[in-house]
Amino acid sequence: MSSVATDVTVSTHHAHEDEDNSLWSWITTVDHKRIGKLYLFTSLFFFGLGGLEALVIRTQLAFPESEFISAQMYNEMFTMHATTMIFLSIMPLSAAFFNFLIPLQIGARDVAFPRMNALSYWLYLFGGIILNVPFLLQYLGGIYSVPDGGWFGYANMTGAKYSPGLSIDFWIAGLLVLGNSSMMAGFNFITTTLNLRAPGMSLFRMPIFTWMSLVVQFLVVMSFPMITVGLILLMFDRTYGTNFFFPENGGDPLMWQHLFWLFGHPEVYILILPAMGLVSEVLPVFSRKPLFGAPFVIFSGIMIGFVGFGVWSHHMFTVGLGPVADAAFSTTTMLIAVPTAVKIFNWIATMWGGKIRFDTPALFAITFVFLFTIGGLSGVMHASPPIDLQQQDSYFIVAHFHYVLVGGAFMGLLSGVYFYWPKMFGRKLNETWGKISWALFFIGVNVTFFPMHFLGAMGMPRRTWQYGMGVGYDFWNIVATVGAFTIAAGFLVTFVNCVRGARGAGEPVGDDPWDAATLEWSMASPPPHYNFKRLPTVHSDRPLWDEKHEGGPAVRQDVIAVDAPDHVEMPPPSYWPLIVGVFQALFFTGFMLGSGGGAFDLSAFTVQVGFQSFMALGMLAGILMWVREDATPR
Amino acid sequence: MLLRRLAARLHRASLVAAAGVVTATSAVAAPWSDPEVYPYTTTAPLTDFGRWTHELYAEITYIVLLIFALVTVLLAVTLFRFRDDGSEGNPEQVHGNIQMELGWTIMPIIIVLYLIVPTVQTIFKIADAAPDGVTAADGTFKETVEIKVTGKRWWWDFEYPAYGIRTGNQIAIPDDRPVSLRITSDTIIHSFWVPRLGGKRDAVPGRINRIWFNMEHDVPKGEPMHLRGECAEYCGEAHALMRFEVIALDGADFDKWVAEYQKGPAFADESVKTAGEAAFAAGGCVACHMVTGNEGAVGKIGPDLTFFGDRRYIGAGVHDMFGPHSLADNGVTGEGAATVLEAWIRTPNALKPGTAKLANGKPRIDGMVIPADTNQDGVLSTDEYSAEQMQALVTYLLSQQSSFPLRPAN
Repeated sequence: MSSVATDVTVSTHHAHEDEDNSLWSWITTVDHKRIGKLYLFTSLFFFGLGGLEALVIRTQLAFPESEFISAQMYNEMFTMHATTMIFLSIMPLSAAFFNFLIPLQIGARDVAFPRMNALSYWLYLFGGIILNVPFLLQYLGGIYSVPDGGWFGYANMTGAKYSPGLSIDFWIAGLLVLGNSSMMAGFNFITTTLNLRAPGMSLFRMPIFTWMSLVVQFLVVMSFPMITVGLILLMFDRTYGTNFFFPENGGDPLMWQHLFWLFGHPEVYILILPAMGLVSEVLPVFSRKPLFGAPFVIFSGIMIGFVGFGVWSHHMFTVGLGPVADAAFSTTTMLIAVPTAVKIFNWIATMWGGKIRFDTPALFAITFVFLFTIGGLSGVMHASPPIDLQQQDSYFIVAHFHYVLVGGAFMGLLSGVYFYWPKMFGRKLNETWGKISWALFFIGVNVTFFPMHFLGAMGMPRRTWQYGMGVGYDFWNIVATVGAFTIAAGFLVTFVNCVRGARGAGEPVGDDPWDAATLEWSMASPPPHYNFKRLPTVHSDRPLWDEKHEGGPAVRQDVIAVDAPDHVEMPPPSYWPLIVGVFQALFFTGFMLGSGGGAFDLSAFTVQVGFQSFMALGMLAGILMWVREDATPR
Repeated sequence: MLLRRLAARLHRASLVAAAGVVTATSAVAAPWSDPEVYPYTTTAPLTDFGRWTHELYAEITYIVLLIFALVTVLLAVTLFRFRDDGSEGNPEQVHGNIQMELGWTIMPIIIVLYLIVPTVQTIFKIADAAPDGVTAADGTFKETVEIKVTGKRWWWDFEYPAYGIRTGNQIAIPDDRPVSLRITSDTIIHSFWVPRLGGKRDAVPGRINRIWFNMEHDVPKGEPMHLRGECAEYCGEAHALMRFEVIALDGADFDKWVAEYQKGPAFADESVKTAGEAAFAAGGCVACHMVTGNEGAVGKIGPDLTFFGDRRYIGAGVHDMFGPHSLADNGVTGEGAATVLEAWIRTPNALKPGTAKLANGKPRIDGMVIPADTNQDGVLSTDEYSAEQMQALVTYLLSQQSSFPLRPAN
């Protein structure tokens, strides 16, 4: 195994980068831990933004026939709420952990391609900006451009004929950039996990989080091409007047649904598996036991990944695919319940017989198990197509996936934030405020989303700007709105806690504050930028526990690295990823210049090609400089 | 000793679980099945189609709630029993138990198989072709009523091809023979959903989706039953305001309804018809709206307005013309159907966003230029209507009543 975790042949030692906290050092960083922190704070910011949009939605729905916002603005709000939460918040928050944790957990000094890693982050940031700039354009500049086609962007409604203006174009450009970011990160982490493990770190000694992340990366690199194809076809329809999705000229709007959900369903597991991985790290530590049946947990994760590609049409039970397809997709969907149930029972069995400490990370992890169970079970209900005929596109579905994504994914990720914060910053987040935040979240999630089951059973459809008087929706809607503000309070507490923590609040806590078992806790908190001065040799799946409690071989850095050489070669900082990212984001945004409003327009097309050529050249030049930089030792 | 403690715990746990299941069971069925309070309720179906899905729903809901109760109790017991008591030392380091894990792998497989069988049976039962009709008790054969449903932006167009009837946003169905719906769209995707008739089906342009059903509820003669429907697939700006009404009728009443609609409205006072048709033509309404019996009104772009007086709601189920309305913000004062209808004619976009964009006081739908917008000589914008013309138009529309008008009393 290589001792230098980098894609470069010549590297430089930057001994003082740890102390250098200038803005320039953050812009040029290629250190996976710093990139992880960038992902962490950017995604928390976007969670706040998506949360604000959710509050606007819930305020509008608090009362019947409410006119708090217009129908158009409401449609923009739920579109941007979902797009923001999925692509700009939950996924990148997972990416924060991929970045920060995978190299530490497998005993590597960085990811396989550190500069590509930086490029992934910049593309994520620019994708988020492209998606949100329309708010400024529309509400300050009067250019109709806020995406309003739903996060699923169903064609043919999102075609130029029914969605004129730039709204869907911004959405397409933003998602293309974000997809590129995710796919690049996916290849990066697959390579890292498979190639850069420390001596003795066999696949089945890898921590569960890294395992679940590996599954997720395969899902990312296989599912994002589907939506990329779909988005480009939709862009062609909108910009040049092609006919992929328009039935009047032989296109098929259902083809979009297939392409979208072929991506969209694996995406659900992309969102939940990292949280499952984090919970699988947290529960054993706070039960002081190993994970019960780790191979079952790993294989069920792989199983979810595989079957997850065979269930997409359960989003389409009402479009009329015919009984055979409905029966087949219903069966595969219900089968997903099996590996999921295995995981839940294994987590409970992990705690059974343990000594459970209820610190904040444990509270969030246990909440994950409980709330995810609710979301999983309601999922089994509409896995049955006849039932889904009543539940599809009703608030029952909204209840279901919010239990999975807020009660599940987000609780799991917050558990990870509180758990790994000491490793990232050397200090714990404030425990009291953490528990207050947990209580607000636990109450808020249930008060907001449980009544939505009732609303769905009462026949309230999703994505409705208004509901009428005298249809019985009033009470539970106002309850859900109160719950939403409770969640907002819970998030605010954690957000302030994080900002204070990042600015140095709290006492230093040492390398291993939770008495954990895996490699990432064997080094200093926060770790030096080269991570491991000397790569440890791993003999088990719990190397640190074995050293501390079972008399196993030493892996702790302060033990094994005393006589290590003073010089560790690491990749130098670089601003070329940022420059390549700027050009790439502009390249994808350039499609908007060619818009002929649903028909081919030669002059617009010429402008577009001209602009994009320059951006492509810029991108190419940036990549050339990036490559040349490596050949020049400094 | 240990066994007795365990037994006591199990007993307590099962009591908690049983209490949970009972509470949850009553929660599944009871509270929102009352259609008086919840007109869109999904748990009080009136048809065979709805009953099949509801029976499956009830069965799976009970199983799911039982599993939920068990997991919750297990989790609660675990958290309580194995909380850190502050004692020294580490707990026993158990890495797994292959028998137990196989057990909780196989158990969900069995449950899933148990759920899949009735699911697949129901899928195929629903997918069967609609019957041609039904032979009534008196030996007469009653043909299946076929209705073509077309989702529009943002209203519903209904056609009874066999009877030559077209209606907008309101249909009638009989309780004594099968009803078959052919659902499609001519623009974008919508979804036809009347929860009390059963599940929804998407209206997809370029495709025809079918559902069919038999009413299993006997509608008394002369007492029409009012059911509410809505669009369930997001379809743009006014998606939330795309509702429609279903009137379930006794079989004989339905035949009467068909006969009346085929014939068109009769006017007690012929001057209402004359003045109304003149006003209807003056504003160019005729270019988009049909009224059976009005020779000039031939347009098919907008909803058919025949027997408009049967309607209770305006704007695709949005504003109740006969109930309390909340239109004060839109400058609508006063009560009654005429007031609301006039407000709708004058400023439809203010009452329902996205419906008809007004350019210079003249309607413009979907960006399409309609005759009223072409400044043809003699075509009035709604602002140019005299009070008498508006009065004539409103009276003309509201006085067209069949024997089955939809009114709050129904």
